[in-house]
Amino acid sequence: MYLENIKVRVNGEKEQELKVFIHEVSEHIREYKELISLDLFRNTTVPSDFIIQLHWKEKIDLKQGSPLAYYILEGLQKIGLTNYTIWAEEVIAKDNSMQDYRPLNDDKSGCLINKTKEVLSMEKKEDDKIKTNKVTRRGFLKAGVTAGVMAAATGLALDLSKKDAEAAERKLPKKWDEEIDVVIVGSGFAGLAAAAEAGKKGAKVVILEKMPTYGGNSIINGGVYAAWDSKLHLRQKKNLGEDSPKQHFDDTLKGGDYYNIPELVKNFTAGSADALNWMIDEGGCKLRDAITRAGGHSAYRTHTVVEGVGRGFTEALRKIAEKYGAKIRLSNEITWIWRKDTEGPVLGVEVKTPKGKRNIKIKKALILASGGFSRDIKMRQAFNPSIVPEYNSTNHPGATGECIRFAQAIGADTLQLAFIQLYPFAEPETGILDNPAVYPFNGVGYGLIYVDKDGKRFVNELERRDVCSMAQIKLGKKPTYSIFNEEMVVKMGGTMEEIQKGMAKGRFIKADTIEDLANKLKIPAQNLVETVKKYNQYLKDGKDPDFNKPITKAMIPLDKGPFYAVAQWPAVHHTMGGVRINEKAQVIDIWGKVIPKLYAAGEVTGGVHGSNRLGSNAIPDCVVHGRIAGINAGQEKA
Amino acid sequence: MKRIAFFLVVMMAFICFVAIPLLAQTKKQPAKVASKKGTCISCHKDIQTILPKSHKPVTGDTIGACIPCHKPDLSGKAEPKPYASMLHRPHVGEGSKVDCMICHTYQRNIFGISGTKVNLGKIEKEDLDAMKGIFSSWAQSKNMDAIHGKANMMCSACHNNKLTTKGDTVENERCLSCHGPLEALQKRSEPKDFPDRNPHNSHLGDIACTVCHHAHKPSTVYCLGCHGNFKMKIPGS
Repeated sequence: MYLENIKVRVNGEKEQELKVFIHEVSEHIREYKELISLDLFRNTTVPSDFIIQLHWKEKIDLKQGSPLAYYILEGLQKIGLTNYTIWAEEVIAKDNSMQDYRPLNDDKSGCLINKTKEVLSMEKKEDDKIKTNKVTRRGFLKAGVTAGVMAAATGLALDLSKKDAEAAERKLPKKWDEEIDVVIVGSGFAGLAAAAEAGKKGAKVVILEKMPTYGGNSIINGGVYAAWDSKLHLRQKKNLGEDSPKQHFDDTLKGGDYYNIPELVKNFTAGSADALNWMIDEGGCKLRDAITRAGGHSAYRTHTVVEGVGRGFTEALRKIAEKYGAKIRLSNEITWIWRKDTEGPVLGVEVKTPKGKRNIKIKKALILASGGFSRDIKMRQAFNPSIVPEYNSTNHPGATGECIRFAQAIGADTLQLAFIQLYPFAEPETGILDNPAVYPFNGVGYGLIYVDKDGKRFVNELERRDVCSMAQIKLGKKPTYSIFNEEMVVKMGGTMEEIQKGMAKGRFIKADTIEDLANKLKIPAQNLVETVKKYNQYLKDGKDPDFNKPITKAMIPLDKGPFYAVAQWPAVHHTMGGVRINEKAQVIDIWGKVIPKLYAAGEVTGGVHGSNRLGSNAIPDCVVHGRIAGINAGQEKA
Repeated sequence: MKRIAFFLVVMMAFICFVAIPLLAQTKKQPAKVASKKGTCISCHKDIQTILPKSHKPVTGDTIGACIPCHKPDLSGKAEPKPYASMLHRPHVGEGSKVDCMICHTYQRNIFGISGTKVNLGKIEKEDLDAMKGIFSSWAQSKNMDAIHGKANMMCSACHNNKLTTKGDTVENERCLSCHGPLEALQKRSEPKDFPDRNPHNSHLGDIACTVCHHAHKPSTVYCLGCHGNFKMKIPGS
């Protein structure tokens, strides 16, 4: 006996229609001689899903699933199927009452087919084109397995491998409204850096920004930049140990659990110092006189921009980009990428502008610098269901990742979309990364500690972001707090002015003694006093037996007030996955070939940071790869 | 002193209970008369009854009769223009769905005024249709256009001397010519409790007024996209 399971999901209102349809089908199952029974269950663990079970006498085709399964799915598509999974098992009778199930295919998941709504809608259109001989519901049931039906079923998927296939279900525009050398999607760090370099190469550059303001997520980013060196040589001046591009490279790979593509890591760790100098020299960017060691980094290499927020870098980059003639068009959202076939170059983009739809022909190149998808709950769920919708996000509302799907639709490969980073220290109520939320990240190299609501430490503060986030979540008690003293503020790149502002908003809590601080935070004072006392001893001993934090001589004991606390909690922050690029920032397709005239840089790409991005690595990644994309795009033949 | 106060109260009462209703009665509602389409007297049997008493007699039954004195002005100075404002308002508001083409002409994409050779400019059909909705918003909505409308400000106050097309925007300088200078505006909008939560001096830097202030649809506070806990209000929302 064989069991075929079809897990389906339809829109909530359509559940009744689904039940009626399955009932209708079940009335005709006698026409299938091999079928023993057809049952419908609600999935108890995911109540929005239904499972249709087909018991067969004979083994089913493992590649396809049974024709009846396809007939059912076809019917459900009309109702509004959003996704489905098919898997099959052999039913082995153990004894009279017990049965055992063995997956039929080798794949561990036992899953034959798993499709989402996007795929389904594409398939449906393709399917409508293919189906010339209309199969009626009655006719189908009577016919059982026929060649025509199988063609309809197997021909569903969009076949991008055919050379003559249009790269999508959409027809190319008949005429172009405009021609531009280099079009860049997104006006954050990567987009602006690319625009500057492409402009410098003499290309006419236009940045399309879907939001009504420029800067995307970059302009609200924490403003910290990891580089082994800069023309200011802050680490060397402050005598804070050694560093090198190689050390930065090693830290980044280790922090990403070696999922990173080494060539890309090499690009940005080697190029970060030069890119920083470029922003200082040409963009007028200014750095604070501080250098910090942040979680996952083995050296003091995190630079802070004077503004204390990403705007300090975006303004510098915008200045350079505009100097080289790049134009930013706000409220211009791309809605499609045009490509004729799977061999040829990207031809253009379809853009929604305030004046209506426009098709722009691309002469030299298209650069995707459109950011991640932290604010797209559906997409987050699709790739990493553990990042539940209830999480806040540090990102701006535009971080919705549609450009990743547009790239996929023309054959671009994507990778590691399941790696989604939580920022461990966001403002607990809204999840924003405000100025006080940067302190817990910047302070650890100088001795700042994290404590829970019981006043106890819970993690090695120099750990990576994923570790710090999970440690908090496992506590189950929101929020946690960073504790530091006034002596650390300037060293960690903070200012007393920021502290005053943060206090006015109730973000920083100040007290002269640890006991008072605990009382103000309403956490057990005795515990916190004990924790701090023990911790100060660890600094003296140079050893942290509780969490094994590497103690450095730059770390300041918490023995002198005034003391400060700031509340923190994880929020969705960065999506490490995205489109696949090579070391030239060219986008690679699903067969491993370069997609001509298509580049990508920044958070939209995948593989740079592996499973976990180290804090302050985002800006060097964006700026360095943006520059690489810009230089190469600017050199393309028109 | 008391006598004067008493006298004032009596006067007020008289005005409220006697004079206003009397005045209201004299202002007759337009009689709906089926007549030649496309003229004022289709609805207003006697034009004189809807004009101010001091208005000199009108000859003619179309908008063309008004133009010799009330010259159409699209110069776009940000000044109130009571004539055009007063004329449009009752005709585009709720319940008075008067066809634009009673007073206006539209031929070969040229928008004009009936009975005259006035050329108001070129406009696509799509934009002309949109204008109807925009006028309706201006006359009666809670949007920002209606707020300006109440001060008798017409389209040209913001849109300069040309007809608008889809997606047209208004530059900051235009807004600031009345609401500026920017420094003064920033000072006015600075919250007392948290001075750096100033919507006109935010961490996003120099942004367009229209990011938040939408004229023909409800305005929205862009800050709230991330700062969901801020208590911020915006006119015209």
